[in-house]
Amino acid sequence: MNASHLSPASITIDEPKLLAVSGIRVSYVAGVDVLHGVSLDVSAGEVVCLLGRNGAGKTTLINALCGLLPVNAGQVTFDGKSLLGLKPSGIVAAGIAVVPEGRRVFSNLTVAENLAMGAYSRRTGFGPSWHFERVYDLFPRLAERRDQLAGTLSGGEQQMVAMARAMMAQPRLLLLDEPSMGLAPLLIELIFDTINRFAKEGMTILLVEQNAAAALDVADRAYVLERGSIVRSGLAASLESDPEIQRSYLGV
Amino acid sequence: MNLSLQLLSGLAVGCIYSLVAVGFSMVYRAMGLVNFAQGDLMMVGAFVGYSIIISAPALPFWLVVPFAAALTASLGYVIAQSALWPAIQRGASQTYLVLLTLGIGIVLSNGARLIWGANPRVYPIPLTHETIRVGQYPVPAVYPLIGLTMVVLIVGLHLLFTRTWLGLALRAAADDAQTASIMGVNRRFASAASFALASGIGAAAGVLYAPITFVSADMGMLGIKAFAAAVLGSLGSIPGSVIGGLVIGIGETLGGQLVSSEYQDSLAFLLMIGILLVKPTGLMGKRG
Amino acid sequence: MVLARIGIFATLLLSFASSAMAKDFPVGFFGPLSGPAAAYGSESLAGAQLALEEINAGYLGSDKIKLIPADDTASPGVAAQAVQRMIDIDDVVAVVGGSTSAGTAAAIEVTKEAKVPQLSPLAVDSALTLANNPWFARIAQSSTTWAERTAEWLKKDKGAKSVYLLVRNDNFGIPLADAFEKKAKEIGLELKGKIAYEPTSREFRPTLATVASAKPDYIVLWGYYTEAGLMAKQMAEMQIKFPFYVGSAIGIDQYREIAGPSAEGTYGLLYYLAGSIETDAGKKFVQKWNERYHRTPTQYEGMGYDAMYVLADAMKRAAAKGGISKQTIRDEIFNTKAFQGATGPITILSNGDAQRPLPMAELVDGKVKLDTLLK
Repeated sequence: MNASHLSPASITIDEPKLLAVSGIRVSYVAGVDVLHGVSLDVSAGEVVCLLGRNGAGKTTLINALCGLLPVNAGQVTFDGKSLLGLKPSGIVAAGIAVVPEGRRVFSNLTVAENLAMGAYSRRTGFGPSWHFERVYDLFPRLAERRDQLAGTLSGGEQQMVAMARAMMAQPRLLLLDEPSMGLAPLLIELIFDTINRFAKEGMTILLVEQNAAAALDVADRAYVLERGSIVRSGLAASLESDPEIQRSYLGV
Repeated sequence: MNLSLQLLSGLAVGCIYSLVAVGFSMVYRAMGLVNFAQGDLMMVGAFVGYSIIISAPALPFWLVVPFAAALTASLGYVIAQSALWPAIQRGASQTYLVLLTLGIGIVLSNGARLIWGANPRVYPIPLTHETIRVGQYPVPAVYPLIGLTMVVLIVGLHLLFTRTWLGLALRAAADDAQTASIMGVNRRFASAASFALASGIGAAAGVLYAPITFVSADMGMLGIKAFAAAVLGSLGSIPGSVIGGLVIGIGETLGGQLVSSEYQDSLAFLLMIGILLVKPTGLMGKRG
Repeated sequence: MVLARIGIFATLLLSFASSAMAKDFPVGFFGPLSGPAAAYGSESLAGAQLALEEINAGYLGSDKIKLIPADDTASPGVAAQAVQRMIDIDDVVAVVGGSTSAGTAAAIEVTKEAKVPQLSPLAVDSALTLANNPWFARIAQSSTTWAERTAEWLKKDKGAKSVYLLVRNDNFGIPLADAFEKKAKEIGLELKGKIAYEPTSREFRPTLATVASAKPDYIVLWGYYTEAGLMAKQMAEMQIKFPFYVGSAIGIDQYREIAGPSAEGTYGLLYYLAGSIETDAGKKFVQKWNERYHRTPTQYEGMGYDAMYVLADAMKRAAAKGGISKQTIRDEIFNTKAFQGATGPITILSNGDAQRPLPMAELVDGKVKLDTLLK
């Protein structure tokens, strides 16, 4: 029994979890675990953020969830079905889309083609049947630049492409890995505004961030990852007022 | 001798270089490696074309091209799946992968020697020795077919890459394979498909080149010049490869006549070095 | 009954005695039997094997030759190894081979060291006999001879005043071209120009355009049959019409296939041309080959056949003079004077080179026709 299990957020036992991660171990090199039995869960419509410093294992967790890294032990279920052993293509087909760390736009593809790739898992017909309208509504700037190569865009615009691309998959769970990294303060604000809009529309989000203040502002609940283990969890508001969290992550 | 006639033959041979160079670029972009078996895949394609002609003499020549391309593409697919992908997945170094493609090339050329024999083969079709008149000059009858196939293939590739999910996925995977995979693209399939496509295009080039010359197991040597063409045009760029091939084809024919025919075969590389000195990223390369 | 037993006993005794006197002499053969140059080795081996059948049917009395063939894959290293093995393990008294100049050059070092006579059917490189190696002889003329005879034929038989030389830029083409050029100068045949092309070349149009603008009486090529075929083809496409000499390519089917109709009227020099030798030995060989294989023998088959016979003839004379040994075989090979071979009368000179007629041929109606038998 871990203290975190007593926190108010995890007492909602009856509510089915959209994503349930329990006790997973993940390693890059056999025998050297980077994640030592991590458990977390995300309910439908929730925004959950995962805080942690560089090297805590945040991106490792994201990569394991989207099928890029094998899970050595533990269980991951999405909507009650196990995701273990699925290829990345199976995971995106199940309804999980990722905005990867560092944006990772396809720089030799146009903006429109990048967005189309987001819809690759649901590919039906080519061209006219793409539903760009919604993402262009969210990001009008991208509509202006639809025929520009993504590699020529600014960092902020590339982050918009990455987020819009993930939305094109019409996911049921959005994984955001460090969306504010390397962006100017004004752009960070824009990105978090967008996350807020997604949240208001009912999108379920797992947000990985170093910018703890902004992340806790948009999140309902939060987990804190240190050296591959969850050390704290709880409602975002209660963590935000926790002195230790303030000292370690909020720079107060 | 009339220069415009030379220009035509330079253009025809240039188209062959271009197509093989496109294969180099496609594999380079998709798998991040220089596939030195590209020339040998062209050679295999030319031999496959020979076998098709022998076993179905009534088949029109223009149909031999897609059949040979499809068969060679399948071979390319198998090679990529069985030999290259396991090595890439193990995280083999660039040097290892390049040596692996060299090895595959040697296996292909020795295999061709075993299957089709050591003697050169000549396509037993009238086209091999026919000429047509362009103005007052006779040119090999296969030239227009070479030009036409080249245009069809390049337009076809363009449509594939911009108008189909497969093409888009291949480009995305070439750009960033891991990110493409989290969009649902199967990396292994994408790299094998690119390799197969490059093999098929090389095979088409081989079948079209055969009537101008002959088919032999050492025909893959032409791949080196096509590689120079790809580098000259900027390795990885398809328009660059097309232009690079034409520049080398025309350059060596005209240069061979105007400068010195003794150094005709070195001209391809002189051109490549010259252009890279002026523009280190190649003709179509981005600055920096 | 008793008589019958004595009869059987006597027969056994006799056969024992004769087998004790008759000997099987192991003779090695090497050449490329696989790989790109396989035709040279396998065809000369086929010729040698037909000769061997005849020789073992009594040419050496009760003695026989046991042939030990080896594939050198046209690699000098493999050739040297194969020859070393047949000397060490099979204890051969002589070696017939090789079929390429490079393989032959490598093997010579081995046979010379072991003092085993070596007789090559096909190797033409002039350098092979420059050292006066007492253990090596050949029935093929040196490349110098080929080049010189060609120059003389052009000047005297064809009345040519000028030529343009095309040369494969390697150790096959260059020595031939040099010897030709020297002879041409000597006999007053004008050289309008010379172009050495790279061995990998397949596009000769620029070269041919340059050649055509010089308007020579003849274009002379010292290169391989693939290049000869492409040049003939590209000349026809460019409507360049000069008499074209292609060397030994003329005897090779693939040359005619590559060149197509444009091979018509080209000239070339062969090792041997079936039907060009009017002697009994020449006619008998072609007839026998036709009966066996239902086609005329190729030049390499003829050369393999004669190489075997020149060796057997030397062994026969050695036996008559007192005994067959490596030394006596060597002596008698070098004593070969006007041996009536299937490919013409053969004389081995003191440096190991051969004197033998060379057929100059022309392609007429797709067939190789004798133009002149160069003596």
